[in-house]
Amino acid sequence: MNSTSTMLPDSVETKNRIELEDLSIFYGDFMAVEGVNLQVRPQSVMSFIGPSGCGKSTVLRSIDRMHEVTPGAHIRGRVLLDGEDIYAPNVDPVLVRRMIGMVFQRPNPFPTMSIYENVVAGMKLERSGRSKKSHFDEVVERSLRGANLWEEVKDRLNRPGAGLSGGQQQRLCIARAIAVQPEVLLMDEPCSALDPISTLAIEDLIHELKNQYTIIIVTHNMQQAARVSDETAFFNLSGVGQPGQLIEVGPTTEIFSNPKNQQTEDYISGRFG
Amino acid sequence: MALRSNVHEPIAMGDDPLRLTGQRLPRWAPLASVVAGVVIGLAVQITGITVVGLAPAVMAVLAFLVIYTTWTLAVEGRRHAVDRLATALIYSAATLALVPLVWILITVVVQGISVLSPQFLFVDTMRNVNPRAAGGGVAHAVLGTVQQVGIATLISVPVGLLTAIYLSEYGRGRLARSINFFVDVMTGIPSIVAGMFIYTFWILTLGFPQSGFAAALALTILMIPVVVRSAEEMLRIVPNELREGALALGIPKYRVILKVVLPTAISGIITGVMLAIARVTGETAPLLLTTFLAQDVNWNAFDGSQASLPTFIWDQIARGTQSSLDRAWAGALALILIVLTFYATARILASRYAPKER
Repeated sequence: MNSTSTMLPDSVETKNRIELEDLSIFYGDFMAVEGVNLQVRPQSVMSFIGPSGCGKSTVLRSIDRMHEVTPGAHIRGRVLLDGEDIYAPNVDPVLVRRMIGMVFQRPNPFPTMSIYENVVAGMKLERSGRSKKSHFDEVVERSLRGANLWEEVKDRLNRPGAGLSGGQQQRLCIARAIAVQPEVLLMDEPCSALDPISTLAIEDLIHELKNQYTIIIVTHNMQQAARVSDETAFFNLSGVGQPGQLIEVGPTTEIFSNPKNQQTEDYISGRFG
Repeated sequence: MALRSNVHEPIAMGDDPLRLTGQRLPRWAPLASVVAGVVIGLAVQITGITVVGLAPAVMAVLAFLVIYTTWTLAVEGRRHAVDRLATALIYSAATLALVPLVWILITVVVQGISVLSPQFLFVDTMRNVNPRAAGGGVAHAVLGTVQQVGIATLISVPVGLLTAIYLSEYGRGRLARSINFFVDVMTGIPSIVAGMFIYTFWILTLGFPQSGFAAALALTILMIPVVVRSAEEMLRIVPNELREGALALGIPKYRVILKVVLPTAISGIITGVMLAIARVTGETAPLLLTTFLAQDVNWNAFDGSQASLPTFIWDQIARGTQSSLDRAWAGALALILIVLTFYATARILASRYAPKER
């Protein structure tokens, strides 16, 4: 799994961080998403847009193998992280999730833990008693600074994480996700439960995080997709009970100004359905 | 400012002004209605005049409900009358539910307090005491109860908790369904049947002696389903987002359960376990079959009859003298004190481990 850090710089340029190859996703017998092909470059932001139920979140969850947590859920096709199939038989999903972090729609700080413990939860719980206290202090400060939350909480790190406001809780969850230093950060509508100010804070954060991480964000807010992402993927479904499909993917400016597909144009111009 | 002065004016709607204010009962109205009801109840008690033979207390409640509701109907209108009637019924029902509870507590304390003392509780036994005369104590029974319930807890909490974790975190398909079914069936087992089972299986078939441990096994049968059900309920209300959030950090599932799910649910689980303990502490029938009675201390829970508070009470009542009845009441008081101690401990532990907001 260390192959990325030792890779030659010029090969990083050309390689895709995430590749979906003919990915179909199932809940039991029901096919929720059909035949997605998609590449995400390192250190870029890709947004998934599309109507409710078109499978954006399902695709996102399949990228860090969170999809299979749902009973009966499975996939067909391949998901590659730096060229390696994360669904290969001998791959441990726990290790995949350490390299690919995830931020959820609703902020979910662990209610029994303090702000401090929430941030180090990933490192502390993955293996017990390995890291030192001083190392943790460093990680907590770095992660909270990274999530633009440090100044607000530095004097109350031992207070419960559940006592923060919604926007702060979401940034705490981002800090928690980046504390384990993943390569990819998946965000499932991270701002849908937040007010405009907190949303702005998180969008600013996405701009900064882009320098270190590859980010995929699901959003219902097309302005947000236009503001934060380099590339945009539009998903749609042809009818109720039909699988969702990837309709179009391309540079965000192109998708929003000059979409190639009629469905995309209808959706982004609000003439949908 | 000019606009504000209009706020409390009625808003005109055509010819019929919509009124936001209306006549309200004075704040002392509920209290006054209760007093009126009590007065009528007392009058029924004194004069003996009543309707269709209803008791004074029932008459008092009915009179209160009628006075309160008609008064509201006359002053505030129908909707408020229904509201206040429902409120009054709810409060009356809550009070009614408390009456036997408080009554029992008061009776046990009044009857038991004269004999109860630290000496009675922790030193004296019934050894060499004439069971029909005064004297003696429950030390042997307290020891037996603590040992039997302690062993039962040690067995049933791990088994019950692990079963609950299986059902809520892992269980799918036929195995989970059948475990669920058997837990439901076990919940309904009468305690004497649990006692009979241990008696025939453990004592008659396997040939072990009557002992406190046999009693503990019978209590375990009663305790496991209660622990499973309460712990499972608590685990199921832990939001799935927390499990997913933890899994998404690359935390292995067993550590997610140990470090995130269990701590979130622990305060409810503790309460459930303590209630299960409290429930089996008062069981009598299974103990009579598995360990019977003893008049002296038996430290060895694994051999020979052992006393316990419920069987002590049963034994003393059967003796039928005033001294033995006094001892039975004091034993009952001791039993309630033990259960209350469990319960208070549960509350303290539960609030200590409860997830906090600030």
